[in-house]
Amino acid sequence: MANNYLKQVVNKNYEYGFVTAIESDALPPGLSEEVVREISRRKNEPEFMLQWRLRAYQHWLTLKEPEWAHLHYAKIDYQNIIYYSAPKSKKDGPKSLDEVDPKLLETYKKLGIPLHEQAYLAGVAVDAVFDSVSVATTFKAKLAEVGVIFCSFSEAVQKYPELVEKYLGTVVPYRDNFFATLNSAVFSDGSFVYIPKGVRCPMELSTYFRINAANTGQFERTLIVAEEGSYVSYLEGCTAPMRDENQLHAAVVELVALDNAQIKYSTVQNWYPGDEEGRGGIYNFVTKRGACRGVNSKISWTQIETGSAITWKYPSVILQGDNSVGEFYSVALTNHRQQADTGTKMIHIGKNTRSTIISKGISAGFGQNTYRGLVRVLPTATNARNYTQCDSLLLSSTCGAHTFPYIEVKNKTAQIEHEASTSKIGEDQLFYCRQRGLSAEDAVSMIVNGFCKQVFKELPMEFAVEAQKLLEVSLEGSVG
Amino acid sequence: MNTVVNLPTWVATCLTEQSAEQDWLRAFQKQQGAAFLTRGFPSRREELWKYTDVSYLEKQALTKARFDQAETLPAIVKKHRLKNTDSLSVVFVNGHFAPLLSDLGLLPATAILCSLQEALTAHAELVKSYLMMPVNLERHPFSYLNTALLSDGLFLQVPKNIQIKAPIHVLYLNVNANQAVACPRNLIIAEEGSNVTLLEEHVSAGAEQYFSNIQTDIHTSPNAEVNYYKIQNEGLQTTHIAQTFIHQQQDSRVKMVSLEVGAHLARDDVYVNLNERGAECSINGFYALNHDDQHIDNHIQIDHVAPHGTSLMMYKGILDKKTHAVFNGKIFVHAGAQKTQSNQANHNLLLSNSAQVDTKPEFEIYADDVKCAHGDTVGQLDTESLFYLRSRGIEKDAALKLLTRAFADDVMSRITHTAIAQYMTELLSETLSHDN
Repeated sequence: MANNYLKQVVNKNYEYGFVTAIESDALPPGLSEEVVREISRRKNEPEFMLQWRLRAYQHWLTLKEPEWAHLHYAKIDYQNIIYYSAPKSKKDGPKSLDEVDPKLLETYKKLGIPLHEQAYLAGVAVDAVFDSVSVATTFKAKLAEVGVIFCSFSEAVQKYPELVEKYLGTVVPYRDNFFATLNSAVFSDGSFVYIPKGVRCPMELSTYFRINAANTGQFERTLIVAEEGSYVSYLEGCTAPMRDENQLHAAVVELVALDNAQIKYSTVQNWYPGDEEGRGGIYNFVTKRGACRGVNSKISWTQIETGSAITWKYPSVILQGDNSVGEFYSVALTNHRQQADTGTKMIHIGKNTRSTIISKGISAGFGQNTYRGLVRVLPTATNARNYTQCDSLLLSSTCGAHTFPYIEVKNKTAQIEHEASTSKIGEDQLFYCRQRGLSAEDAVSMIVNGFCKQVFKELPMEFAVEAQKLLEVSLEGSVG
Repeated sequence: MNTVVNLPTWVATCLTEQSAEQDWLRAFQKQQGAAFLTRGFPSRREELWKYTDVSYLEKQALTKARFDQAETLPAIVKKHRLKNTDSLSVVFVNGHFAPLLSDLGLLPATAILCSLQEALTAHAELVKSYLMMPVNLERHPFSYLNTALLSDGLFLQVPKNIQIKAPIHVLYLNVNANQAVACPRNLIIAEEGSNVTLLEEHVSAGAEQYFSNIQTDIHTSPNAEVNYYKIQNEGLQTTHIAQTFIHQQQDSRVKMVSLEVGAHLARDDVYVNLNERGAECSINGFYALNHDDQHIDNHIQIDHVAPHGTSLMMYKGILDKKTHAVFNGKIFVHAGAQKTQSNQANHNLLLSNSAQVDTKPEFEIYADDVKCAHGDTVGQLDTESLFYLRSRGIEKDAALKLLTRAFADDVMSRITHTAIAQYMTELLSETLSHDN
């Protein structure tokens, strides 16, 4: 009985798989200096951007794709990827939702995120990225009132080049790693957020990403700057249509928190994971990093990773300012043939810096789930404190759960704690719930939810619901 | 006197001058040595050597360690004899068996205990089958070097259902061995239902620059029990590289407790293979470093190949002055190794700001019905506990000593042989008080 339910759930196809037929204004596949120049030209970028991209491209040519991750996938042919595609309708430049291609809006509806409704009801400003170009941005006016800048990256390059030039690449330099360098050379668009001094952003900022045109790599770049004493909560979520070819997704996110500033960054990632045999699915190679530059600053990452065939992602915090705080809360789920190698880095530099890492990995089917983390305490980080907990839940005998935590301490006043556990759902736990009248699937759902609760409670309300639903779809009852 | 050249060149020369009597051994040693040279010394670019730099070895000019008959030897051996217990004593000087210094009086008649060189002649086939067991070249390059330059070592076979009550104390002494390499190999075979306790101790009589590359292989048949204790108390110029391979069959039990206080650089690789159902192992270590530039690296891997295996791993350490400790514990649960239970821990006390710890406790798990946990900490002595003791009129130094002892006790209390426990605890106290 429970087994039947399990099969139903586990064999469930990706609900959000479909391709919207919209003409794409795309470059031919392949990467060369010409392509980099062309992207920059089409986006009408200032000279400093082009030079930056070219430096990145030149550096990328010297790099080798990293192989240390606990991941197995077919070699990526970087010359067979389209590096730029913009929906045709962009040329007319929609100024409000009414002008947006109705097919696009329909896509969002199918995804269950009717743009305007959600914006109104939840009080969320949505900067929706459809493929590589932002096509709709809402609530600008309200944000402008308090001086918050929330726009697409291309727009920021046009309107606020001095801010972009000042902060771009200061957290993730273009030389950082293979995928970040690639992104620096060819990134198409993304979000830009600037919170002025002393401002508490009046609403949750949110971006829904979506890959659409077949064969298009998605290379977003997000930059969030929180000035002294400001606060912002940023949400990112994504779903992707069904297709057979693997798609490369190499995003970069940079966060900068100055004195007393706080940034909360939440992600629900549900890219297409591939079918049961592991065909198709997104390759997700993301570099996310925040710098707590100022004193008492705080950066908090929360992520729910349920999608993608390959996830390679380590949201990190550089704790530079004294008393700064870094947090990482993660639920990563791998089902079918999915593979995830994810975790965080906490680099303690300033005095009295604190970090917390809570990571929950769930593996089912043939999924391989890896936590890889680094806690580094430099000699300057007096009284640094870290608490790490990473737990894994195994739901089938064919899946795998792996933990590779690195701890490097060079200061005697540091206090570092790391705990990890791996187990399956106990028969006795199930039995206990069953004898109290819960059905098998409810019991499993309850236990899994309990397992993830520490992370879910960090999510903003709007996201917590979506996250639970996602887990229900992918997980509930998948214990036999 | 050999001409002095750097290590790889010298190893190459040694290979052409192999002197082993047995053809198969000569050929095997050549092949192993060549494999080592082709692979090369591990570099810090390799994940398993990320925090430990052994490149200096390559530049060192070393020669083969030779037997030495210093007059002080009998006194040193006597000083190291276990107290309050009967024991067997097997002494090696610079990696060569010293029969006159050893005492094998209490050996049961059916058991075989001799030097490896002797076993190579007397029990050739048996030794051959164990020596030639394949080892992963990438992971354990120094095992290849050990085979290539094999000097001598302990050969022990405990027959079925035999218990050797008296512990076997294997003492490796290094004397007047400046710029020398010794590659001893211990082979311990515990047959079905047998039981044996060993203490392997490495001591330098002087402060020479010396390179020990030791390998110990332990094979346990069903239901056998081996208690294996190790003391590494080498001189402060010594490089101590050790690999221990433990292969366990059904329901066998192996316990290992190491106490590591010496050496300039020590690297200890322990690899346990729980090959059959119900095997149990407990691998523990305590390190106390309090001399500038000491470096210790423990790499432990436990492979759960069969179901119902149990493994415990606990490493703790105290670091003072400019010292560096590295720990990497890995639990590998293979597909099908259901009902595995495993627990690993690494706790470090930092007493100085120039001390450094790099620790990485890993899991790689391919079965679902398992219970695995690990815990890691780096920190200082608890100030509240200290306050508690001080408020009861205990002086600060004494209180600190008490707390440090308590910290070590988790590991030290796993030494179940009373006399050995006493012997090792005394050494630890000596090391710790040396500091104050």
